[in-house]
Order: sequence, then structure tokens, then C-alpha cells
Amino acid sequence: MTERRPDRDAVGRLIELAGPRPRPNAEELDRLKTAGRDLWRASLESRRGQSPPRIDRPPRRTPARRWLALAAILVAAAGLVFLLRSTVRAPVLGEIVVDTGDTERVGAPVRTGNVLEVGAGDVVALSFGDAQVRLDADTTLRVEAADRLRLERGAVFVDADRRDGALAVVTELGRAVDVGTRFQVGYRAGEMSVRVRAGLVRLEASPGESADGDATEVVGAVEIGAGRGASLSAVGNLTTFVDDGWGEAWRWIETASPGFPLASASGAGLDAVLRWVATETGWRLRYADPDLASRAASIRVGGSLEGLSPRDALAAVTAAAELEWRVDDGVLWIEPPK
Amino acid sequence: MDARAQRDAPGSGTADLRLVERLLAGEESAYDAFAESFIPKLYRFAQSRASRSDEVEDIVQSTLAVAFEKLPGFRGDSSLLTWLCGICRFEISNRRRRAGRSPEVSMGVDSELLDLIERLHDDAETTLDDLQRRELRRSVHDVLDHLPEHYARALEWKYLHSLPVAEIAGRLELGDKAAESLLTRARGAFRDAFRELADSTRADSSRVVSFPGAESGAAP
Repeated sequence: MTERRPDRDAVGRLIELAGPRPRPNAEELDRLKTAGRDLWRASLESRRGQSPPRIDRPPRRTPARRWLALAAILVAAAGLVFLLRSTVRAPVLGEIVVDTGDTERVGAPVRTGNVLEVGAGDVVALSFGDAQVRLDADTTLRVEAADRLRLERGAVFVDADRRDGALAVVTELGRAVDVGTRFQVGYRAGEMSVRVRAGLVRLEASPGESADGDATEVVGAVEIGAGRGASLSAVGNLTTFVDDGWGEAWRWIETASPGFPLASASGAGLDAVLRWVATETGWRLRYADPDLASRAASIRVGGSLEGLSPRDALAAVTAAAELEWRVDDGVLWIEPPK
Repeated sequence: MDARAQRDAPGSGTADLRLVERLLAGEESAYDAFAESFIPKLYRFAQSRASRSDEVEDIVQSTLAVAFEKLPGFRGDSSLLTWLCGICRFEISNRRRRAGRSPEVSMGVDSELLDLIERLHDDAETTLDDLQRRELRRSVHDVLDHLPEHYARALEWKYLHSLPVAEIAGRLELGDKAAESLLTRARGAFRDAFRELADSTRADSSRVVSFPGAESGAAP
């Protein structure tokens, strides 16, 4: 048994019990310091932007011959910089599939570092890995990484239902991270809002992104399930609310829909089309009777649904199948003809 | 160590902001100071919480990547180390979720345990089970890492290496009385920080943490 020393105190006992603080392995520490330096330098570069080197004319007179030689060197150097920049490309993370403001952008790749600006009255949709991301009008979205999007203003909708791995939407106030979800994030007038249609989203006020001024620093997280939303103000107040997942706040998402997801919609089952409509609108699909449900599975859709919005597609296929439809409190009812 | 050096030591509010300013300005010496002071602490923080030891280096690297991107947003509301550990904590929980592991549930160290330890005799080690000992070790090391470095070193020199005050004074370039006074302040800072950690551990134990002022209401 250890002899008790007369000058021991509680703090001393705690530190003795805990033992020395472990030092990282020297090799690992060196690697981390080196990698950290590269990351730090890269962050400085990205903040400085991509502006080309500026060439200042020296004040004193220089013989013309020297000017020509200098100009030749600089042109060669600028060319090399351009060549290097054009050969070292960020990886492709997705593709623009809908752009109502500039149809020539459809098909363009989306890479790390890209900033997507959507003007008033337009919408954009991207395929992003196995997720789909839609941008509302007046939105600026920066693609930071394969699993992180920065919403600088506006609103984005994320359908990450089929995605493997979390996708975070980050604003100045915090981040929303999906857990296999369909949700939208808005950042307007200094307030961040999250609405969840399906799945679960974790909303975090990130460290270093707390409010300015005298506001209490917000550090915490809340999980938001389907049918609920939350808004986070710049001063750190969080309000949760019920969200139906299909109301007016969700309408813009339909206008950015890439359309029925088959290369050729002809021959698709009616039931598949109706389920797609329900997914796009947030409605719950119900058939008036079980026979109708069986019939919908066996009816094939003729013609193309290309370019049709979910509601237009609904009208077209039900008319062709001689069925009626109505929406009542978020439920899409499919009924036999009157 | 004179008062100015203590004030400017990493961990103090003004020193952290000054360091961040210099990092953002691209000063290489600022990165050297940052790496020397913060990377080992971040490593320890990740090591004590990661599910697997082979993940620790990756976690720290991911944390640094996010931290440097977010650095312009650091306002000094918390210490730089607290801020970095918050990012690290998020990276760790993200990995857990991606790997399908359940969230970490930490027993933490509550104030009752602290009171118990104050009353313990030398056979203290035998009355703590493995989990308690592990949590205690993590908490003590976290607290030491968050203290000003000269406080942490003085406490370790005294309690782990049993150095006499005169030698501690020599290492800190202080007189004996100043060293005694520093040890007293260091013990007080450690005790305060430990109790604060205990209180925040209790508040943080649920999976959903409420923001101040959170309320339910109708959709806006």
C-alpha cells in the first residue's frame, strides 16, 4: 500500500490517478503537422481566389529590348499558370439536370469549389452522387465537398433517400445533416430554417458560427423528424414547428423536378408514376379501393412524360387511364371515374 | 514567465484571437505555433473518443481541414481549443453515424465523483472501476489541455514528477514564492474547470440538446 503523503490534495490525487497526458507518436505528429500546413495553405489560397498574377510596370525607364524579354517571360509564365490550372481540375461530384434560367447549363459538371447562382424566378436541380439537390430562386450554393454544401442564401431541397453517407448543408448559423432524408434548408434574412419531409435531420449550430454581438453563444443540436421543421435565428433562438411536408413552402421544389426518372417513361406502370408524383409533391398516395390499386399496377403508361411537371404528369396519366384524382389534406386520392 | 507571456500564452482569449489573425494573414510562424500547441491536444481529444485507434489521424486531419476553412468565423467566444474540439466532436460523431455505430454515451465525471475523490485515501485506485478510471483520465487530461500551458506543466511537474517548488520555479524562470503562488492559482483553475466539465457533462447527457429559448409553435 502506498504511503500517504501529507501534502496531497484532491487536485493532486486526480492528476496522479489520471497519469501523464499521452504524447502522440512522433511520426504521426510530424505527418499531421505537415498535412495541417498543406491544408492551411490551401485554405489561404482558396480565400485569395483565382485571380491571375498582376504585373506591375517598373517606374524607371528600361531599354525596349529588356521590355520585350520581360514580356516574353511573363507571357510564358502566365501560360504555364493557365496550363497548370486547367490540367489540375477538381473532381466531378454531380451534374446540372434542370436549369430554367439557362438551359445550356444542363449537363454541365458540378465540381468542388463551384458556386451555383440562381436568379429570381428560376430553379436548378443537380444530381449529386446518389442524392438530388434542388435550388430555389435567389439562391447561392457553394459546393465545398462531396458531403458538404454551403448555402450562402436562398433555399435548397435535398433528396438523400438513396444516398450512402451523410450530406450536410451548412450556413453561417449552423449545419443540417441528413440521416437518409428528404428535407429543405433555407437561409434568408439572417434566419436558417429546416423542413423535413421524410427521414431525420440533425440541425447543429456549429462552433465558430455563433451569433454576433451580445447574443448568447449557441452550441447544441436538435434532431428534426418528418413532418416537423425548425428555424434558427442569428441570435441563437430555435423554434420548432409542425410542417406538413407538402404545403406552400414546398411548391417551388416541384418546379425544379427533373421529371419522371426513367430514360423513356413509355411503358412505365401507372402506379410507379403516381408514386413518383406523391414523392415529388409530398402527398400520400391512396387508392379509393383495393381493386383500383391492382389495376394501377397493371396499367402501362403510353407516350412520354418528358418535360412534364409532377402535377401535369398526374393530370395526363389519370386522364389517359380514365381515373379521377383529388387532394385532401395532403392525401392524393385516386378514384374511379364518376 | 512574466505576466505578459502568461497573458499571451495559448489558451488566453487575446492570444487565441491574435494567433487566428496571424494564421489568416498567412504567417508561417503562426502555423508553427498553432501546430506545436494545438495538434497534440487535438490528437489526445480524438484519441480518447475515437472508436478505433487507426482512425485518430484521419479524424484530426479532417478536423484541421474544416477548422482552416471556418477560421474566419472564429470570434473568440470560446477558446480556440474548445472551438477545435467542437469540430472534432462533430467529425467523430459523423464517422460513427456513417459506420452505423451508436452515438457515444459518456459517463463523464460528475461532482459526486469529485467529492468522493477528495475523501479517498491512498487505496483510491482500487475503488474505481475500469470505466470510471477511463472517464476520469479523459476528463483530467481534457482539463489540463484546456488550462494555460504553464499551469498544466506546473501541476504535472509537481504531482507526476514530484519536483520540488524550487525546481519548478527554475523551469518557469520565477522566484520560489511566485512559483508557489502560480501552483495555487493552477490548482484553483483546475478545480474550477473540472467542476465546469462535470456540470456540462450532466447537461449534455441526452441525445437531443435544447438551445436556450427553444419553444414549439406553429409553422412560420
